[in-house]
Amino acid sequence: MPRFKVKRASTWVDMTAMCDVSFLLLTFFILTAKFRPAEIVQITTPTSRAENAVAEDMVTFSVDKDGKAYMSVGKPERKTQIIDKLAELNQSKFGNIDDNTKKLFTRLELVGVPIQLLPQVVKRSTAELTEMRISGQLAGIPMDSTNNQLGAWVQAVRYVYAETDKLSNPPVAIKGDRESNIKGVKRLIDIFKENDVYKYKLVTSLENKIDK
Amino acid sequence: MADLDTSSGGGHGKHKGGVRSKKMSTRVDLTPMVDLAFLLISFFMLTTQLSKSVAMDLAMPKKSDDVVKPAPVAGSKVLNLIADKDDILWYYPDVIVGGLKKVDYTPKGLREVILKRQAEVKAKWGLDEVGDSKMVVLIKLTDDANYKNMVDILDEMDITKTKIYAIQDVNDLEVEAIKNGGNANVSDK
Repeated sequence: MPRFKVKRASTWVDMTAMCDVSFLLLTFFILTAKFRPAEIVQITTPTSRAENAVAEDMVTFSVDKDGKAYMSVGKPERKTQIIDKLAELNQSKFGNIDDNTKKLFTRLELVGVPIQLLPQVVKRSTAELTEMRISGQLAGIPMDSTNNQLGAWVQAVRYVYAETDKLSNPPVAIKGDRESNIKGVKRLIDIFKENDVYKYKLVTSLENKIDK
Repeated sequence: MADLDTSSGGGHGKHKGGVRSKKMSTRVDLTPMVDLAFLLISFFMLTTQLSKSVAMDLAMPKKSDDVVKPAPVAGSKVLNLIADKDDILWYYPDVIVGGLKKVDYTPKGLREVILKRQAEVKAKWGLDEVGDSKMVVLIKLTDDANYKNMVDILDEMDITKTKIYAIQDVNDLEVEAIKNGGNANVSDK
């Protein structure tokens, strides 16, 4: 009787190809990954079920834990227009804003000081601004009724978007800290209303589906 | 060949008892390396997804000087929610302040309240042509509430498909009622 010899196959698998593929993917993800940029003001947004992503080019008004207000403009080219408009509309109130400040303003990531202090702040880098925020030097944009500078900003934003993009309602978003008192956000909504801005987005983060 | 030459000496055959080094395999086990690579891949994939923030839309009524009083709403359609400090939420149906009850923001708390009221409104008024509830929710935020409370309530409006809601100021009677622990007997005076 003929005997069949069973060939013993080796269990060794060549991993080289797999390794190649995985590192290729890894490189791809590392290069395309976009980490959340370092934020000057730390804001923990509340969670919600909403799923519409926030457009990058929005004008965001933030309210932090202490109720201070900040503004950041997503589109760099709009920044020039906004500061020009602000200067034009409020010349009597805040005086002239010099050209150098206006030029540097386009690079400023976040407005977090009264307009009078802008010339001192525009030169600072993001890291320096973060440093200032930690030491409590960033006072936020004043929004009380006697010195309503936030209103002036909102007005400028609305004018710019109405003129350039023909939008009756500028793309604005409110980003509030979950711990912040409702008074700050309420005041912001009132200021929006005073300036005929009725539609806006509330920035939230995705909710863990399991707890709802 | 790309292999490293690990064989010893050479085959001159002169030496007898020399130490013979073993021929080492040049194959390297790449499994741990692949493991690591996939771990990192999954990390980067997840972090790119998670850093996105989302937004909910909010539209407020236009201010108009001619209409001072809002349009009257039938009391039987109304549910009032008042956000108070320390994540306390008060609610009462109808437009007459009284019998405020406490509830929390959990699905078992607030959502049950809304759904119950929705059922009551549906029994009396039916549904609108699109099939949504005709319930009107009046959201009131005291000065001690925080922003998270507001977003939570608005989110709950979305979940329960409540289409008609308004953010209003707390009135004096309600402030009084909250102080009294929910009873509004003072309104009789």
